[in-house]
Amino acid sequence: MIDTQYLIIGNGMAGITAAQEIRHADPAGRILLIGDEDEPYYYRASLSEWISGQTTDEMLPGRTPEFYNQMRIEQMTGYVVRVGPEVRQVHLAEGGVIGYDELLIATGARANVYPVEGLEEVIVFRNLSDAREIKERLGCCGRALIVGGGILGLELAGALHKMGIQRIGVVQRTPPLGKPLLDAPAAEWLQKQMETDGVDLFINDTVAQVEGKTAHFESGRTWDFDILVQAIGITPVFPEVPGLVAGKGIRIDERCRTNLPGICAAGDCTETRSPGTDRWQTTRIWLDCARQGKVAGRNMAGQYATLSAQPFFNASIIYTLFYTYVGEPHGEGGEVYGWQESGDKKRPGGYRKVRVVDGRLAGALLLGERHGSMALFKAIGRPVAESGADVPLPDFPWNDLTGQDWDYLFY
Amino acid sequence: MKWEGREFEDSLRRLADFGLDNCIGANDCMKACPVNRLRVNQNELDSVLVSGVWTERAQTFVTECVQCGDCTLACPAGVHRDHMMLYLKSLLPSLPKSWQKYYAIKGRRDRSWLISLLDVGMRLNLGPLGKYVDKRNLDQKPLLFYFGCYIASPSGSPAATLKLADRLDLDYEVLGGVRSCCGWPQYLTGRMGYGQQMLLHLGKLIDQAQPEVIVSGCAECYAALLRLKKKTGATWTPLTTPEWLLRHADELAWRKFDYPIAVHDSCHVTKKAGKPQPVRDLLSRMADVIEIADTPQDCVCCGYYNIHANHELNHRLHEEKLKVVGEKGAEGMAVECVTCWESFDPLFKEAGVPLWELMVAAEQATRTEADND
Repeated sequence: MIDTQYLIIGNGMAGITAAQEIRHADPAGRILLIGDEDEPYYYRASLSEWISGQTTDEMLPGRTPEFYNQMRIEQMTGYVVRVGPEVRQVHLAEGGVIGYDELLIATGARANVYPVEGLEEVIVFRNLSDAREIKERLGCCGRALIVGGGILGLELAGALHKMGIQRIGVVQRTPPLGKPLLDAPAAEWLQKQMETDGVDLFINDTVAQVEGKTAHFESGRTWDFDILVQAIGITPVFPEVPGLVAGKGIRIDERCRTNLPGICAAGDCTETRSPGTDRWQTTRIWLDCARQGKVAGRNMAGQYATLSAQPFFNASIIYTLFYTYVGEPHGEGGEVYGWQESGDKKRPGGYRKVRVVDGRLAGALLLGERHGSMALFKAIGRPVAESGADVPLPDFPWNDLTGQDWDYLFY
Repeated sequence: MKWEGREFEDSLRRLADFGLDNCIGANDCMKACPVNRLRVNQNELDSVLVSGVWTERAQTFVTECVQCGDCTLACPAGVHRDHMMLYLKSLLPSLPKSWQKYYAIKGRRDRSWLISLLDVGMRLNLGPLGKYVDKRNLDQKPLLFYFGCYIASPSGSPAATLKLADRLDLDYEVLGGVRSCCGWPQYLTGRMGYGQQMLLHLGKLIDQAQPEVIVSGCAECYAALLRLKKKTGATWTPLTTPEWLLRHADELAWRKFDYPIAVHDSCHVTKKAGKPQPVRDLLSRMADVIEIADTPQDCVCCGYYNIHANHELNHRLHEEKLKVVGEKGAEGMAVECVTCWESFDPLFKEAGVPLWELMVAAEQATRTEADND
C-alpha cells in the first residue's frame, strides 16, 4: 500500500492547480496525483485546436516534464473506484490501495450520450483519445455530423472547418445556437457566418434515426455522414464514497470541502450553492476549475482560503470566432446596447452586446470583434452611464472604464 | 521617494495568476510572437511562473520580449500574456550586460551626476531644443510637448514638432530629458517598482505645467501617459503627435509627396490604445497611403527594445518589413513613433528607402517659402 500526505484524484485543471498550491504552502509534504488517462496534465480546452492542427502534440501538455520533478509532484495512472473516508484510503480499479491524509477529488465529468435508434457507435468529444479518434476517422475529407450546437459542438465544428473539412452539419434541438452563451440575436449573427462557410445547420431539429451512415431527422431531412459526434453536455463523475453528499456533482462549501473530513473536491465533478439561494449548480467553466483547485489546495495544506464572489469571465472560441462573456449580459432589466458588423476575409466582424443596470456595467458579450474584453471585465459593476450606448463600440476607450489596475492597458 | 517597491510586482502577480487560471494552452500567443526565435512554448513559461525554476530558453525569451501585445490579441482565452511576460521580467534572475545598458541612465536617480553630465552635452548640441533639456521649472501652458528621453532623437521629430507648433503660432511648454523618463525602459528590464516610481515622478513634473493637452511622439511614452491619467485621474488629455496635428491640419497648406508611402502601426498606439486611424488620416494629407498588413493590428512590431542587444533578431524583422513595403508598392514608410523610427532607420537607410517620422514629414509637407527662407 502507498501512503501519501496529499492525494489528488484527477490530473486536469483543478487537480494540477491544487497540487501547485499545496506545494507552495507545504514544501515538504508528499503529493501524489492520479490520473485515469495516460497523459500528464494537458489542456482539454485546447483539443479543438489540436484537431485543427493549430496545436501540436508538443504544445498540448500543460507543464513541462521537468516541472513535476521541480515541484516534487508524483504522478501515476490509475482509476479510483472507491474511497474509504473512515480509514482514509482509496481503492484502485487495478487492485491497489493508497492511504492519504488529505484527499482531493477532481475527477471531472464525462460526456453525455444521447441514444439514437440505429446508431452503432457513439463518438463524443471530451478527452484526448476522443480527439484522436475524430481526427483519425475523418482524415482529410470526411463528413462530420455534430449533434449538439452548444459551445463544445460549435468549437468542434470550427476546428473541423479550419482543418478543411468540407461537409459539416450541426444539430441543435432547442434554439438558440450556442446557448446559454449566445442570445437569439447573437446566434442569428453566428448562424449567418456559419452558413456563409457552408455549414449545414439543423436548428429546432434532431436526429431521429440512423441508417448506416445516413441520419434521418425528425423534420424528414436526411444527411450522410462519415462520423457522428455527440457534444450534448457533460455529467460529473466521481468515485463511490460512502456518506458523501452529492447532487449531480459533489457538493462543496466555500472552502471546497465536502461534508466528509479530510476530503475536498474541485472542478467539473462538483456543484456549489448559488449565492443567496438553496439552488446548487454544477461547475462548468475552466476558470472556476482553476479557482476551486487553488482554494482546495490551500485548505488541504492547512491554510484558510475561500472562493470569493467574482464576476463571471469566460473567453474562448465558438465556431471559428473568439468570444468573451463577462458578468451577466443576458439578464433581465437594465438597458442593452449593441453593435454588430458582418465580417469579410480580413476582419471577422462582430457582435457586441453590453447590459447596463442602474448606470453600472452588468455584463457584456463580445463575439468576433472582441477588443477590450479584459477592460470590460474589470469594469463590471462600475459606472458607465455617461458613456451609454458607446460602450459596445470596438474603438471605445475601454481603459477609461476600469479605474483600477492603472499600471496596465487592457485591450 | 522610494524607488524600489513590491506593489507593482504584487499587482502583476495577481494578473499573472488570472492568466494562468484562464490559459487554455492554445499556444497561439507564442505562435504570434515576432521575437520567439527559440520557439518557446507557453507551457514552458507557465512552468517557470509556477515553479520559479528558470530554464535558459525561458530566460532568453523573457529578456527579449518587446511587449508588443501580439500574444494578447492572438489568445482565444482573452489572456493578457503580455502582462504575464511583464511579471516574468520582474522575476528574471539576471540580465545580460547589453540590456543593462538600456537603463544605465534613463531616469536613474542614483546616477544623477551622470545625467547632469549628459544634460550639459545635450543642451550644447540640441540648438533651440537645448533649453528644454531637463528644464527645472516648467511654465504653466495649456499645451505641453512631452519628449522625455527622445528629446535628442536622431529622427529629428522633436525639432520638427516645435517648428510645426511655431508655424501654428501655438503657446506651449516642453518636458524633455532623461529625468522625465516614463519608466517603460525599467519595466522592459524587469525593474517594476522603479519604473512605477518613474511614472509617478513624471506625473509631478507634468503638474508643474498644468497643461490641458499633452502631446507625445513616442508610443511608449503615450501609453505611459494613458496609465498615469488612469492612476491620478488627471484632467489633461494625452494625444499622439498625429492626433494633435490633425486638430490643426486645416490651418496648414499641405503638399503631397510624389510617391506612395506605407504606414507602420505602432504597437502601443494601435494595439493597446486602439487608435489606428489618426496616423492614416494625417499621412493621407501628404501622401497616398499604402497598407502593408491585413488589419492595423496585424502590423509587425519594430522590435525596438532589442536594438540594444539582439541585432540579428531585429535585422530579420526589419528585412521582412522592407520586403513587404516593396511588395505592396510603397516607396517609403511612415511611422508615428520615434522609437519605431530609430529601430527601422539603419536598414532603411542602407536600402535607400525613405523612412519618415510623421512630424518630420508633416513639417516638410507644410513648409512655406517663408519657412525655407
